[in-house]
Amino acid sequence: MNTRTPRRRRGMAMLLVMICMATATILASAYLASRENSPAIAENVQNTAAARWSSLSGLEMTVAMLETEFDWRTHAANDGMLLSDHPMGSANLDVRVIDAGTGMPPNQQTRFVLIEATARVNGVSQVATATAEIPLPGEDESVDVDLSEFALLASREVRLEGMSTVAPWSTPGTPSPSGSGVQLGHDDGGQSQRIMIGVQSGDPGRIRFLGNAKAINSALLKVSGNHDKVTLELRPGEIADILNIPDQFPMPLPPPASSRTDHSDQDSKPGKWRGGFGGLIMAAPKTIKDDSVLQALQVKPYKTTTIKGPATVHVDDDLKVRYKGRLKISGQVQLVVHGDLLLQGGSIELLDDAELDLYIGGRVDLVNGYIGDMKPFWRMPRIDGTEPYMNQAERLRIYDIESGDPEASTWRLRGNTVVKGSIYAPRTSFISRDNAAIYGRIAADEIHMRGKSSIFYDPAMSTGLGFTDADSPAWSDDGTLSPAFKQLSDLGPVQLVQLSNVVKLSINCLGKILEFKPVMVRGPLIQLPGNKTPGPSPRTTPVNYDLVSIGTALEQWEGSDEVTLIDAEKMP
Amino acid sequence: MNHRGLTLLELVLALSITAMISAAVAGMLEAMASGVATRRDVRAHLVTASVAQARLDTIIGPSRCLLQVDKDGVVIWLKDTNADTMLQASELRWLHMDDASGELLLERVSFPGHFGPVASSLEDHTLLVDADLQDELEYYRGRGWTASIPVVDGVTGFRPGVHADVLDAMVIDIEIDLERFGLTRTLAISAGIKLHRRPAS
Repeated sequence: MNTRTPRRRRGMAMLLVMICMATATILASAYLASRENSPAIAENVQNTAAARWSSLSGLEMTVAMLETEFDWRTHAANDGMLLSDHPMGSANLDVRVIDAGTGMPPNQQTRFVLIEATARVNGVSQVATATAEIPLPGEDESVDVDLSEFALLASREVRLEGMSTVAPWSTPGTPSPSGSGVQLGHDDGGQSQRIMIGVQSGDPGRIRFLGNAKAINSALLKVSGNHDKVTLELRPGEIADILNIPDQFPMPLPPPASSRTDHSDQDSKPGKWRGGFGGLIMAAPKTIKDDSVLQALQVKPYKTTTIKGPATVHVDDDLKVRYKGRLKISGQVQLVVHGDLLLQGGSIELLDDAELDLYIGGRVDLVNGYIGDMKPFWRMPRIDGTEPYMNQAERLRIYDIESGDPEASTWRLRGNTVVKGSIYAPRTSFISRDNAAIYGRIAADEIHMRGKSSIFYDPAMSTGLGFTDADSPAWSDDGTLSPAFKQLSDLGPVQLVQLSNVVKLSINCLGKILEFKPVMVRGPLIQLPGNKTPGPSPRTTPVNYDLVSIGTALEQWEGSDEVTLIDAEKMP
Repeated sequence: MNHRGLTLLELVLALSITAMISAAVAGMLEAMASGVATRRDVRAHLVTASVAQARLDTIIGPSRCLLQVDKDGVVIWLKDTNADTMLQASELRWLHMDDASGELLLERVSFPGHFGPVASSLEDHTLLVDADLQDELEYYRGRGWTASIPVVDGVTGFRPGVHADVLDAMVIDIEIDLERFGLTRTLAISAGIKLHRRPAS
């Protein structure tokens, strides 16, 4: 008989099942808890908001710094960084300032800047950007005498007819004249941003708009005392404003060209091409270096000649660039053409580092020509105002030279000619027709535009310190111009130094400043702890600024093809 | 005698325990499901509110001035492109709700690509402050010269308001009724103009 009692197993299965269920529940809960990302999202939102506000604070702090006498132009000259990793609350701040005209770090002439303040909070970064105009040191004591605030200025007559147009030069998608796609202006009711058209002498003077000629956002300027001598022929509503200036202002001659030095380098012997265009033309040299005197210069079709500066090159006879020929300019070059300038489908192109003073003593006849910065060989110059912006268009200056021949004082731009730069030719009759387009400004004795020709004024050429500035120190309280300004005969350095010493003012001319009394006080960038200087830094510099973006740039958002909606259905 | 099998008492106890455990598990699962749904709903509104706030800050923050705030929407003077201190149509933005799509849209004047700067300038109307800006928008819409981007979707109501004269207002309060997962909640958003500048005319 088996008397062994069987082991009691009842309840064990239930216990095991319960243990398994508890384990599974704990694991499932842990998994679900690990999938919970609400805290991370909330932290991200918090960090983004903190970074956005910190970037805005950084921007305002930067403007405050620019308002002091701190020498920020020197401090940021290397890489544009004004502040690096600067702690601000829970954020770390980088501030960069960029010259709005060049897109490079600022230099001593920088006036318009793009400010970019980047704040980082726990790995989240936000950027606030603004454009700002900061006057140059001592600028309130300076006067601009080169009349570059005018798109069109004639001694005697401005005549626009046909479908000719005056408009600002602003190209979407490229840096605008004042940088970053946002035009900077003076807070003076907008007058300084109007495109100025004027007659200088007004004895007699005429401004005539005939046919379908258009001037966009333009203002005409007349001298008050010559009201009865200036004739205006305008359609109603054609011109936004007619401004009066109380006294006659001067239109000096261009700066004198450097005198010739009669030597040539080995690559450009004058004898190679002596004979002019009427005789046998030898090939132009590939490169002209150093100061040279040439009898004539012709660039043949599809050929390229380069002038490497610094150099002064005198051409006794004509300068001619034939179809698809290119005259390239490198470095600082003064090219003095005593004969005619003839472009027949050819071009004169400046490398990025180049600066050209082009003096012309004879006729100018440009037919489908191009004068400007470098462009791809295959690209046709644009005549509709969309030509890419040329940084510092004033580095290409075209002047006239005294010539006894009245025929020689007529300059003609025809066909699809495009010129980018400053044309200053007070002894010349300037005629632009067909589709010719000038990007920059023109000052001449007479200006006549017809056909579909256009002038696209570069507002960066205006410093706002010219004679049209009612607050200019050039004007006395009784509304007259100082006699020293009226007696200015040319824009050469000798005359300008004399003028500066007489009027005791700094003189701006053709993109350069002749400082009478430099005002530059170096102060601390930020008041550091332990610095015992009492009180805040004095803010002596007026800064005019505009916000461009906080966080995302709206223009970038609007320009993007895809806009991401908040798709809650796809959220985890 | 064979005693194998369950007594009635054992059966009742087993059924009771099973029922209790099942009820507990079902309750827990229901609670978890409800929690997940609630969190998703709250999170959707939270994220939408955050993005909407950021986008409205992007639009309103750098703007110069509010021009019109009413039930039709908001008209903003975004920038003074030509620095003439006057209003040009291309410098304005219209923020309004599109009932059909349930989107809050930001609309602007956008000239065709083949328009050069001259043609664009000629068509870019200079406007007076008291001009009918909705009529102006209709003019450009009629020619197909507008473009818009959605700011927020799933919008069932949009109520902007200011606490001052519109041209002087620096802060705008916007209430947005937002529908997510069948639930409608109201977002209250404020956005401020950082550098307020009135137009000249």
